[in-house]
Amino acid sequence: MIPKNPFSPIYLNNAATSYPKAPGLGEEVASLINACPLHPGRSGVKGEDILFNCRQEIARLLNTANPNQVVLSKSSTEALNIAIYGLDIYGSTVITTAMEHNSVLRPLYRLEHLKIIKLKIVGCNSEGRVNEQEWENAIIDCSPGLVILNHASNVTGAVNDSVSLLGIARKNGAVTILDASQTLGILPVDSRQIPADIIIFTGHKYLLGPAGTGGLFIREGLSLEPVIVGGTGIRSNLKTMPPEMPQKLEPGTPSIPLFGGLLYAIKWAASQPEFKLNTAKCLEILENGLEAMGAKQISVKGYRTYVVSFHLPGWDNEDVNYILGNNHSIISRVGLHCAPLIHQYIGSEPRGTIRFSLSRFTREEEIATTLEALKEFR
Amino acid sequence: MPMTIVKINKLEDCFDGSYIYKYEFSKIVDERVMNAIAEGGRLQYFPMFSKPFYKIYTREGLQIKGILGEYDLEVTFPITDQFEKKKNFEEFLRLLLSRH
Repeated sequence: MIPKNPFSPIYLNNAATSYPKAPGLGEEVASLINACPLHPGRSGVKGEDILFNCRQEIARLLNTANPNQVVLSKSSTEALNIAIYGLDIYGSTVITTAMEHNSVLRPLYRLEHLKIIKLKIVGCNSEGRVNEQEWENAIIDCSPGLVILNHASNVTGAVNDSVSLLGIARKNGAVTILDASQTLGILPVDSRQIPADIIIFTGHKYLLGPAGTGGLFIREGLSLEPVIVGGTGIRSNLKTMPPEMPQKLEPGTPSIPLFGGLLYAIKWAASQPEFKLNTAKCLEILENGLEAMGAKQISVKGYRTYVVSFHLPGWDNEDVNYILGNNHSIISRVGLHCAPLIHQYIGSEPRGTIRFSLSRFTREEEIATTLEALKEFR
Repeated sequence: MPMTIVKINKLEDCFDGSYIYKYEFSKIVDERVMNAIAEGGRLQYFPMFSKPFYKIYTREGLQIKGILGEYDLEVTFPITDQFEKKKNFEEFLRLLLSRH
């Protein structure tokens, strides 16, 4: 008999959304919801410009000087739509990878269906990392107007060499987008080193903020047409969106409580930088334990996030997930993880994988309990 | 008091458009209830877990899974005739539970 999980629940689904959040986040968001709006425009409550401060913190993380180039949105998906539909790519070839999330693939499929773009998808290796030679060949052959690269796979955790890959694309004249949804907050994403014209991020994963927050950084000099238009709180006499950034791309009343929460979470994380050794150790224990019990893991060497994908031979992934959740209060994720193309490369077709994704809060004891629970499947 | 359905919640599915619902009951699903639901279908029973796990494949193409001794189970309905199959299953379930 397996003892009852003393850490109930054990949350191993941080690549989907982080839990727990930054301590005190809920209280901060609640205080902002309950506070009287002091300014009728966008700066909001508490006499401080929460949106600007949030942009500033994100700009600091991205190592960029101009916070006004940080556009806030409600998610990575929305940010990707703002970027993809806001660029002038009519008639261009767009290159992306088999690692991508549907938040990248579906907007591109739509443009391809409408015959606005030609789409080329570059494959990856068995770790889920982009094939560099195939990427370079595709860029040379297709001369793309745009490339979109996943910084790290949400399925395997493999991190791409974004400096090299986007460098090749930029050298060949493409606009470059980096999807950092799986990395910002847990790995460095330095806009001065990575030749990305646009960097996409989300607030509710490794930035430890609330769902409903995300955005994009746009390098100065690159102009996007607004996809959604409306009120901005400034230059209301204009019939068009104002040219100023970021208002040009941010119509509508922003969620100051949520972005105030994101600001709080980023500051909290900055005050607690020492976590990577512990999380890396948890990952190592988890992988060794899975190997010892004969799990079929997607093996990833080198630079990576704290994600493990696997399959237990003889068991349906969904059943493993169900039993872990219902018998042991262990929260994992199962299936394609909204990244449908990667599975043909990593050997997990057609049903995908079971995924454990760790966070800075994951403890060794939780990993030990999880491995004990998995022993029941033998 | 007979056993009743307390709550029905739709769950997310990553795959093929099948519809998954979680059914919660006023009493636990015991062996008698499990076997009654499985009648006419195929039951897979996994007693090695700290709480036994079961799966039932019905003749109507439903897949049911649960943990014995818990208050709920999950049902995956096939995409074809899903609403009718859901309605029929719930009628069958209510009748069955009223006897437990």
